[in-house]
Amino acid sequence: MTDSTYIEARREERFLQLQRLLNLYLGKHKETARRLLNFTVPRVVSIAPNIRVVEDNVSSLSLMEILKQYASISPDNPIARYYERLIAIQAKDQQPTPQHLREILGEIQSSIVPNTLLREWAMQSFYTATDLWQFRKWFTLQLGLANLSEFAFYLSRLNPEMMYIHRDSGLMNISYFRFNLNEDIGKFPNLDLIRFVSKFFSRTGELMSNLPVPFRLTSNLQNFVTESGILGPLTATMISTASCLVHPNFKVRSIILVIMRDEIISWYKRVKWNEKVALVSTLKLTSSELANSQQTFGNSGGDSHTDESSAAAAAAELQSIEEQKRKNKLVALLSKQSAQMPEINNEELVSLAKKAVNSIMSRLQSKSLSLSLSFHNN
Amino acid sequence: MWRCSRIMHHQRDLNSNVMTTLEGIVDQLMNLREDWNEEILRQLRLALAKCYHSAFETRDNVADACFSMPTFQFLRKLIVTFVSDTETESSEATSVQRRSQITVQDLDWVQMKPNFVKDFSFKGSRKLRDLIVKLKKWIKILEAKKNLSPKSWLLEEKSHYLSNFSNQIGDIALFGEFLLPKVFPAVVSISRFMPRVDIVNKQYNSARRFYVRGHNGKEYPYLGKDFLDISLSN
Repeated sequence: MTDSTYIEARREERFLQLQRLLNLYLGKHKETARRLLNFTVPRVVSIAPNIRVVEDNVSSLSLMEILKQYASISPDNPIARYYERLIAIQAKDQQPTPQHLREILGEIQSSIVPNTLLREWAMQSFYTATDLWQFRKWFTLQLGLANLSEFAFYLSRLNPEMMYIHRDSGLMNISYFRFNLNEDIGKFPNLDLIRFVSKFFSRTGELMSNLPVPFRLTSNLQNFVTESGILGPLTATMISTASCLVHPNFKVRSIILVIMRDEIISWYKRVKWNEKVALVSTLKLTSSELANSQQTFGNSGGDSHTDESSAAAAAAELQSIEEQKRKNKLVALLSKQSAQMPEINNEELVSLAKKAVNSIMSRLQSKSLSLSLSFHNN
Repeated sequence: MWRCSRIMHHQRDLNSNVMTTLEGIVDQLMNLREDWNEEILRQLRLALAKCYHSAFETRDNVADACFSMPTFQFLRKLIVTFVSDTETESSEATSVQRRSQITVQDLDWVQMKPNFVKDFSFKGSRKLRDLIVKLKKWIKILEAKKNLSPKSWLLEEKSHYLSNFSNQIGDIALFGEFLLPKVFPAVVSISRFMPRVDIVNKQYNSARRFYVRGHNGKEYPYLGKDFLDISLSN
């Protein structure tokens, strides 16, 4: 329903394009080629601003669908249970402690969604042990890739409905993954235009890393992949991918710079658009408030009889009329200019893009070093 | 933008056959859009996801949490778009307005309308929990309605052009073939569109799955999706 739909589509497609480019390097590096590591990237083509044609696999289904179809559990049930418990705790004037939260989690896991759900689904879906083993192995490798990219590229959080598992091969693709740029615009408020405008300078175009966990490895996934899977193939996948992307010959840095440049340009346009919309709506709000106050002034002017009060009322009325005229002019000007988007300053663009890429590369390097150290120690 | 349109016009002059075929295919694929009840269902699901998001942010005081202005404005917009009886007079009515007019005329919706408006016009308190309960209730109602409609249909009913399309009309590569660099013989072109179109339910929206046979004989399934506004759910 809004203009932002196709912008969000472009954001997702940018990350898919990055994955396709990185696949070339994963195929060239020895450790990743050994494990046949490759991002699963579905072909996505936009044929209209609001319709996309996506390559599909008939046997693919998301984690959420497994919950709904195999276990017949509505995803709203655990959420409702969580809030019921929270209300019960808060009714006693307490805030939930970590102990409370652990109890709630344990209760949900024992009564609604057991730990072993994914494993049981897999055992039921595959007839022979070989099929199950093959599926689990591929799934572990793909999970490692997805987790590393979520952490290293500062992506939006992986929800269960985003993960699509292909039952015929064990491949897995994540849909709707996007870069997590800081878009905190600040509150909208008040009539003072200067203060209003200055609040917008505090937002940045940097990659946000405020997620509570680096990547998704919930107890269901852990149970399915098993501990030896986590210590073995999963960790090895993440180390080898990180070391591949950090390899200086591949010049992965310059590829990410290009993608981030586009991302930051679109972010800037988005923020400017939101600013304009906010400004116009605030001005409209204030001009309507002024119109109301003008009316009350007019009424009170009619009712009062003394000279002083009527003179003061008339002066205030004149001032409010001028204010309103000024604001109406601004609104008209802004709506005329709304078709023209300001371009981001080149230096700001370059510095933001470089900052983003530096943070990504530092995460990849730290990941490859720290993981390999712990791997050797174990 | 004007550069893009100039390039496209130039291309149309150079390769008129391919371009007109492509235009025809794209026009016909627009028939794969969702129905009105699927669209409302999608908006409601997005609203529910957004509510869960804000509920988590206000989890310090669950009982008294209220929903924010943007959510309230979204609900108002929903009611105005799908429930208002006013006809748009402008000749350039957008596709949303046209579809909302189709919605307005549908008999089932006309019966459901008063309850919908009553449930979603919040005059007094704006408790988040009430809104979540109401959204869940309406999602159930609309899902039950959707389950009654057919799960698949024939391509001929909606588009003659696509069902009669063949290699001889134009040499069009499969969707997305050029996203990766490939050598010429490896590019698969469309041989025909298979007659059956299924309706497939994904988490937030329902998509139309159609099958394309390539010139190599293999059948490729594709999904035509209405793109959803994810910014609401994040």
